[in-house]
Amino acid sequence: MSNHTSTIIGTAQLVENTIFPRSAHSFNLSGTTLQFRQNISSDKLNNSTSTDDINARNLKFTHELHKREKGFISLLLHSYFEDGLSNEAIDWIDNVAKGNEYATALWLHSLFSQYQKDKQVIYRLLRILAFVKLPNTWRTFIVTVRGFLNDRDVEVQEAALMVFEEYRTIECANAIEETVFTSPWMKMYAEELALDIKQELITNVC
Amino acid sequence: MFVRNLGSKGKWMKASFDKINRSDAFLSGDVISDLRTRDNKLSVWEVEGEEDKESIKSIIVTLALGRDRINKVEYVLIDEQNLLDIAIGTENEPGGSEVMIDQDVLNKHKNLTDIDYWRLGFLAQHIAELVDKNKGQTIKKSELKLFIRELYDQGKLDLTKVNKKMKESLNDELGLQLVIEE
Repeated sequence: MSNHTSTIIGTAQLVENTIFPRSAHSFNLSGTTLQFRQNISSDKLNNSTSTDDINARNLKFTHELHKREKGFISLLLHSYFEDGLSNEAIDWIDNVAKGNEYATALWLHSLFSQYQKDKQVIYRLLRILAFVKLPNTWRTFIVTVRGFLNDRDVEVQEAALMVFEEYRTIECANAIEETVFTSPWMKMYAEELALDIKQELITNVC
Repeated sequence: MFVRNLGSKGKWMKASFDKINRSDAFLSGDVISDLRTRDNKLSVWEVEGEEDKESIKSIIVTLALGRDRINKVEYVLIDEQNLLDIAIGTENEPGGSEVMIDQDVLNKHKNLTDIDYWRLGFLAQHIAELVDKNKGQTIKKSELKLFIRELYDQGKLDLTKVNKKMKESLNDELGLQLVIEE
């Protein structure tokens, strides 16, 4: 394993254990047809379960995602987000996450970091997190989402709450309770949500 | 009274208007996207009032199951008199949902008619005032799941008619086993 590879994988503290699907998706983004399978995979890499090959596969996938970053951000900013409804940006992330969830999560973390001051991007990224299932990596986003729960922007705050409404852990409930919400509606929604999550956790334990 | 669902209440809140870089900012332009008209009509559902909980529940479930995933639903209750004050009329048009079997629920669907530019603005202002006075309602995801389960058990829903994404969500969230066509 090269040092470069291990550094990148280590940064997000993610341990990849999935195999890139054999029927990889093709999609369009800003006029470019992405054929991830052709671009990223090779039989040797796909079939191998060695740590080096898995890391190489992740690195390659992440690299491909970075190459599409500009197109994705443009798509993101032109997508309309409405509760319960999917859109092209959500579908795009859902597709790439099905290809390699760990690399996608790593890339999403880097987007949160890069665009942390751009509320329009952050609000939309949070909306995506609240929608797309990331069964192996969702916990890695809790700290990030918690930070945005304290944001002054109401739409960012609402989107962060929606992510925690999906995650429903005790950390999420505690974070919601510790947050000061200025809007009466948001305050009421947050209080009910925190209580709801805690009751659900108690019921599940019993 | 009429139920009108909102895409997302956050953008209707006064605090979100601060993002408009104007000293005289009044109402966010983004909210208009929640009031998409078709043939100059806007879809609403009629209920007796806030206390007409059973009707509201059925309407919310019908609206929610027309989406791609189980998620919170936000709505406001608009008083008919406020519409009459700005000369907005209504017409009957039964809801087109195939998921809701109960025709009485579908018959509650109406259209606000002849919506022009000014009336859309007045309506947006009125809804923003309702949200500002904390009169907007939110049905949390957990409540919605209970509502869906209740109506499903009562035989009022045909969940085979929801879209593929919603089927996945229902299977995942409610433990149903709806067949998903590839």
